[in-house]
Amino acid sequence: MAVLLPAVRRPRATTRATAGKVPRRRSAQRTRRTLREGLLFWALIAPNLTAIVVFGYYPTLYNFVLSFTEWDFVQPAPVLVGLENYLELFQPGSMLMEALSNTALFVLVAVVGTLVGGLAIGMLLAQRLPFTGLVRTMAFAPHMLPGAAIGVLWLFMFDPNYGLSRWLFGLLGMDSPHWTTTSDFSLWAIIIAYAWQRLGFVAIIYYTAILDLPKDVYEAAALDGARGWQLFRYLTVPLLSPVTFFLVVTGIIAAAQTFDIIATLTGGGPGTSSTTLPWMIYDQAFVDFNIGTSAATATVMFVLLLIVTLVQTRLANKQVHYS
Amino acid sequence: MHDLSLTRRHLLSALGLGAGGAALAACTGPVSADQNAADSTSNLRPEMRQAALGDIPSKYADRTNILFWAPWTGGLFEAVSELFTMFNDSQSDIYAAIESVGGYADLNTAFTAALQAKTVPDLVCFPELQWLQFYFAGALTPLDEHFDDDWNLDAYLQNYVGEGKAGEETYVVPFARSTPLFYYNKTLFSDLGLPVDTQYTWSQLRELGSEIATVQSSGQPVKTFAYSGADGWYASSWLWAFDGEWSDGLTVMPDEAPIHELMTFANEWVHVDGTAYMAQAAHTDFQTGLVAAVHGSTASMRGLTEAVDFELGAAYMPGEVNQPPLVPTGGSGFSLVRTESQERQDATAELLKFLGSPEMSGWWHIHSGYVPIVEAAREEPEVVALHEEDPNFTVAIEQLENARTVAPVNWFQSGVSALEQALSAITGDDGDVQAAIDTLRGEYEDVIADNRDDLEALGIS
Repeated sequence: MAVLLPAVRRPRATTRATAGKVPRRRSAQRTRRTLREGLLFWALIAPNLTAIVVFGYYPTLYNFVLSFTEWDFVQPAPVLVGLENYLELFQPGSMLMEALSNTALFVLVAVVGTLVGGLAIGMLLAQRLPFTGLVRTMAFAPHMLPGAAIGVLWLFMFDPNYGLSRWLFGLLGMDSPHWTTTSDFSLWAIIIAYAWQRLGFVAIIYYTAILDLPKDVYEAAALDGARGWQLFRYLTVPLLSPVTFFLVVTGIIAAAQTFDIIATLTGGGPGTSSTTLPWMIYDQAFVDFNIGTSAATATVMFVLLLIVTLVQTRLANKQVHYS
Repeated sequence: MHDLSLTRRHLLSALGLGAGGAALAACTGPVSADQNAADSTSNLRPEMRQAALGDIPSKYADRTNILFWAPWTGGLFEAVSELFTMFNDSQSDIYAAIESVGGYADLNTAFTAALQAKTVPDLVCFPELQWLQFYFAGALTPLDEHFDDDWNLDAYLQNYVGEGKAGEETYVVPFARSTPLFYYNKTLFSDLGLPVDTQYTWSQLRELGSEIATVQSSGQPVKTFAYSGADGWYASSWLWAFDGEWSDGLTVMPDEAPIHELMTFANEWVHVDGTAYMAQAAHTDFQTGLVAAVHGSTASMRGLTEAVDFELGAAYMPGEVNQPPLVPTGGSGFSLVRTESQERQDATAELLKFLGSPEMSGWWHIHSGYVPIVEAAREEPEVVALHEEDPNFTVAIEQLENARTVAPVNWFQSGVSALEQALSAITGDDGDVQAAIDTLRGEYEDVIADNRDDLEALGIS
């Protein structure tokens, strides 16, 4: 498209100054060419545009409409109830409040934890120590696994009777926490499993970014006497800020949408102790069949993620250094 | 002259227009009320076509094809598939295709989506009273017109027949029905000199805890009993043992005292005695010897018997005030989908007639562990032989006389979820009993309020 559009407007050199039929013919040719290019443009963009409208815009808007209705999926048609679903959602002590709180904690710890851990691993990998290639592959491997598999794997590791957790805590002379069956630990269980899955991805992104950092800047700083922590604090961190920004944005969105690990590890429980927004949306829609409530929750989540992303973008314009 | 070149603004405008159109389209419900209400007294719905059947084996070609969406996987699916093969081989007019859609929850989701898409199976199998939501949506058709002298409700265990009726019409015939049972490690109990083959009480089991804990398994004391996060069904029997009701008609928790007693008991057993616990996978722990007893469906008996390397004991559910207690009916039954085709409905009824024969019911009981839902199936030679060989199967059948439908508030998944959350707060977390009851009461009242009209239409008051 970028190639096609300028061509339409490109001024054409006219060698003949004669008036009459020639300019009209050129005009007709230009119109046909423009039409042809326009059709080509629409033909090229139509598949993607159709997919975006059908699978992106339409469900989002339909969800918004459903959020003002009461429906159980089975009755012939949704019934309009106005703002009732939203008013119920925002009542003090409602499930939404707990889901929001759980989601915020989950996202905060998961994103910060993977950023810090990923940066540390990325820097270690960049030292080109022995077996770096092997470690890099192993670190990235969990990211290739589906979330459901991660959940099942950690279900065994967390088992207080015969899991890795029992052995680990046994070394310290302690009993393993009941990770998935008590409210005190259930959210932490899914945070740990999720962070383990994402850590390798973050580490590899940081690793490749670190390799691309400009060496001359470091050499100049070293000549000025900068060392160790100073180089990291005043050069590495700012220079990595575009990558960090990318990882924060994608990390928040990915963490906020986590579903499969929760489904296999805790099912949102015990009680609602590990219920996050995506799980609440599923639970309301496909367990309780409160489609209106589920749609209203999805709308709240959509708006929240939109706000977070906008704020991040604004901050990025001020804080991220691209050169 | 129009300039047809496309700018970013044009593109965004186009997207906005498309989105607006989509929004307007979205304002229309997926199925209009008129469409559904039309001819609602008929057993046919012209717009409901048959979902994809898959490949039809050549030897079954040129027959009336019917489709069943089975809510089972693994061994149960293999067993029911074999029944279907027997049916297909037993006659030459009908081909019954079977497709696994996962579990009960998956079936619910899939059938809901199918109704919206208007491509449905001919036969479905919903657990307990889940069929009601589809009955109220006009998705099912009565079976009564297909009953005759050879096949009718009289053939079935009567405890399970009432659950399939709305008014005078029958919408479900029982098939994979069950009750909960108390399973215990009979070898361990015998070795410790503890009573076996008896009617236990919850208090008695709690008292046995210290003795059972003297045995070690995987380096830790064996627990007596494992609760889980999905005990909603079993909790009906627990409360009946303590002489209470989760709801009486539309009245939620009419007497709170037995509920308080039950929850306090469970809480103290786990968090004071420490000889019961909230398991991550109760049956796995039972099979590996970490816990001496669990509860489970009668349908679990076949799998447990094959999985454990000790002698499996099966007993009635433990009692307390009431001994033995009532137990909830469970499992699922067949419902005929209201489709476009009378021919397919008739053919599906023929399949149900086949599956409702004593021989097939007995076969299904033997291979699945579900109760022999046809009365006469108990007299089948293979069933008699099985019960002589393994008395645990007999326990399951004898307990059937105590089987009752769960309280109306637990007919709905939202009610069961609320109950399971309250129990988890007590057994998993060391939560406050009264707070859990108060929360549960509020959620139960919401469930009743949401479904009051439907319940009243069924004569519940």
